[in-house]
Amino acid sequence: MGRSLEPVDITRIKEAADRLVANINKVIVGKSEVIKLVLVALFCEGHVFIEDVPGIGKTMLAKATAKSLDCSFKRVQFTPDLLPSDVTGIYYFNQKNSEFEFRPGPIFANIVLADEINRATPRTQSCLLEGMQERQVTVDVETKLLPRPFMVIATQNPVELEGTFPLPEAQLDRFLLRVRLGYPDSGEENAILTRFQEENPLDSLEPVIEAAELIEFQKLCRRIYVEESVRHYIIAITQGTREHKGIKLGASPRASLSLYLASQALAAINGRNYVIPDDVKRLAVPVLAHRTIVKVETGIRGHSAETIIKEMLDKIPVPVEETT
Amino acid sequence: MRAIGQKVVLTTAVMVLEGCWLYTLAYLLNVLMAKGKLNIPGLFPLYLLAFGTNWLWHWLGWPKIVRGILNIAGGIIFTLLLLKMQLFGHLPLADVMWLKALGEAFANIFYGLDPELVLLVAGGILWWFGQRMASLPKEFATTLREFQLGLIFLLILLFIAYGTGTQASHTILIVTVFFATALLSLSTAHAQENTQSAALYRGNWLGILLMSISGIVLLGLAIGSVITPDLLRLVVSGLAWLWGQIVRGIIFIMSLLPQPDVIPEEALPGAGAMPAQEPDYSKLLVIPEIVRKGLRFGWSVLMIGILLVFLWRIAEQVFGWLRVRFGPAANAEYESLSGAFWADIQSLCKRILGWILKILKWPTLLRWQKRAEPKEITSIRQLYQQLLHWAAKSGFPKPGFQTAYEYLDILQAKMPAYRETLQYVTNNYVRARYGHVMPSVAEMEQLKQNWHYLKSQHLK
Repeated sequence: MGRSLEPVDITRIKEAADRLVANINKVIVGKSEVIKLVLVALFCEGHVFIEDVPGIGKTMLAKATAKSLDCSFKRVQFTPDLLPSDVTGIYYFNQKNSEFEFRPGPIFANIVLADEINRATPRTQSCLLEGMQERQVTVDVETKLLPRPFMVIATQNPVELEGTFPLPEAQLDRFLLRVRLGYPDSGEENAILTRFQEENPLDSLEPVIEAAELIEFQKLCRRIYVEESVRHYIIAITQGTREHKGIKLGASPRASLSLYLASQALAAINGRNYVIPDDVKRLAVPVLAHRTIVKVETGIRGHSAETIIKEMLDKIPVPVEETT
Repeated sequence: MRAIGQKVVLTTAVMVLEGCWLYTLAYLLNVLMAKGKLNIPGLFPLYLLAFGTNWLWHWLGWPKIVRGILNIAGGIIFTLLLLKMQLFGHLPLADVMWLKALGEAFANIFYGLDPELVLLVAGGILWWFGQRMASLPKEFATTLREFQLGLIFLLILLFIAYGTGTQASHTILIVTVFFATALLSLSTAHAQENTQSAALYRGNWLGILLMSISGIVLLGLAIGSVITPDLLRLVVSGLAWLWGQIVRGIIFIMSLLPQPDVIPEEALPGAGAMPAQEPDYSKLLVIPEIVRKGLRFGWSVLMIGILLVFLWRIAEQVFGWLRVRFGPAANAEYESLSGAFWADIQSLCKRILGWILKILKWPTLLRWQKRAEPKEITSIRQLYQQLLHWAAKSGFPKPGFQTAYEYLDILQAKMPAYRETLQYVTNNYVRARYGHVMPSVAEMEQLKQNWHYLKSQHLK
């Protein structure tokens, strides 16, 4: 079967994931499912795109995730005047030793928070492409490797789009997941008020997992067993987006791979060494929705990529025994 | 209504296309092997029967496997009946003599094909093509493919007829009908599809159809009056003369090359003539007859394959030229078919390779399946299937898009008393199905007990 992940490894991954969720939950009230999605991206070396209205806790989630890991963290506030060199770094002339020296940009960190990413120009947005896909950046024809683990958490505000630059498809495709936090319910909001009354819990947040451990978990997650029929189910879903009448641009093969890897990571986080169709279904919308473009007429009718993918999931047969 | 009419015309036309070369094939088989004992038109009801029955089964929506079994059974039964009617019509059906004759024909297979076997082969071919016709989509691509295929077969068969000196009757009629039907079906299919050129024909479809037929018939008559047998003989003798000149040229060039000097061996004085020794062949490698037969067969297949590809290419070129010529004449746009030939060849090769791989993989797959799915896992899957069946009978069928856990939520909500039992069965099923986790003997026993408990509780 090709599966060699020991139960002890799975237990370690699950325990680490539980610790992370509990730690982040000290700052982010509720939203355990969203936190799990961020961890999915973290465990399969993906990047997360958090999109929601202001004040929901997007930046807080990103910062809490970064602080929970014993990794370097840099934040870039994307603005219209931000230049690619402000992100990647620059060669400057050092007058002391009369040489050009490289000053690394904020991208040279384990966790990079690209806050309000759509406020920068496409040129600056694009400077992240190479780093996100290939874990390296090229500055002045010199290619430099980024540290491992490396993860970009980008945030975007879906309202107030004046003066912003929507992310191109190529850029969106680099994000493993798009997550939305949503408003808290009354109980959760009450807990937020109580918790933040005296101090910001983010300040006292301690790391619960080390970088080396995270890298090991990332490797282990790749060995999670995916049964053949589940693999075909993943393919059927992504192909469904390509054939759907309401969709202009379907999910790419990279999307299939992302769904596959993310399903493996989710299975590990849930303490399983095999993927089940529920994992795939759970991740289909976060992984595929931001990679698909719906037709204009479909959008006018009130259908979004999310609703179309959900409808598809209600039609595509799941690999499971059928009633005879 | 017009669409139905077009479909009927297309189906008929494609059947006629196939019928032309099938008739020629059956005719040649009859003359060369069956000593003219078969009634060729009498074979064609088998083709129509295969088409009709398969069309009906398609229409009824019967599964592919059922249709396959019925086809095999139907093909065998009806071919045997035809055999009985054509060759042993004087014997009663219950008389086993005709079956014995068939057995003898099988026994003599290595010495040539008897009429009985020829009929079986022809019947099998006709039945196969008839059932294939029922599932073919009636569209432009199909008609084009059938035309190409038919042209190749027809040319091969006519070459064979010429080579064996067989007097192929009705050759001109068959070829004329073939081309006329091809042009008719192609024009109909093209008009049927929603192309720009089709707009020209819309509303005048029947008129265009009749005009096309008249034009083709007139063209055929004109060609028939110009190309006489004498003219053909003249062309053939011209080609033969040309080939003779080439051979002479080659012989002349060969004569210019220096020949090796052969010195005759002289016998020693006093020695008598050496007795002629029989060469000892036993030291040489002797290829068994069966291997030689196999090699001969392989060589023939290779040669026929090359010939097929060659003729296919010619047919494609001819058709491409026709499209280019006729396209502007109708003031219509024509889509280029560049690469269609290679696409056809690739598709054919892939399909053949697929069949071979499938056949080769069959035992491997079976072994793999046996290895990959132990008995316990199969039992759990069967048990879960019984659970689904039981739940469906209780009024909660599982839709195809639901996962095992999604369905579990529904069942637990509907039957809260059995929450834990249902959970236990589903958990074990999911572990076995997606994780291939082997349950222990105790777990298996527990699972069975749970299931029996669930079944008995509900039945009460």
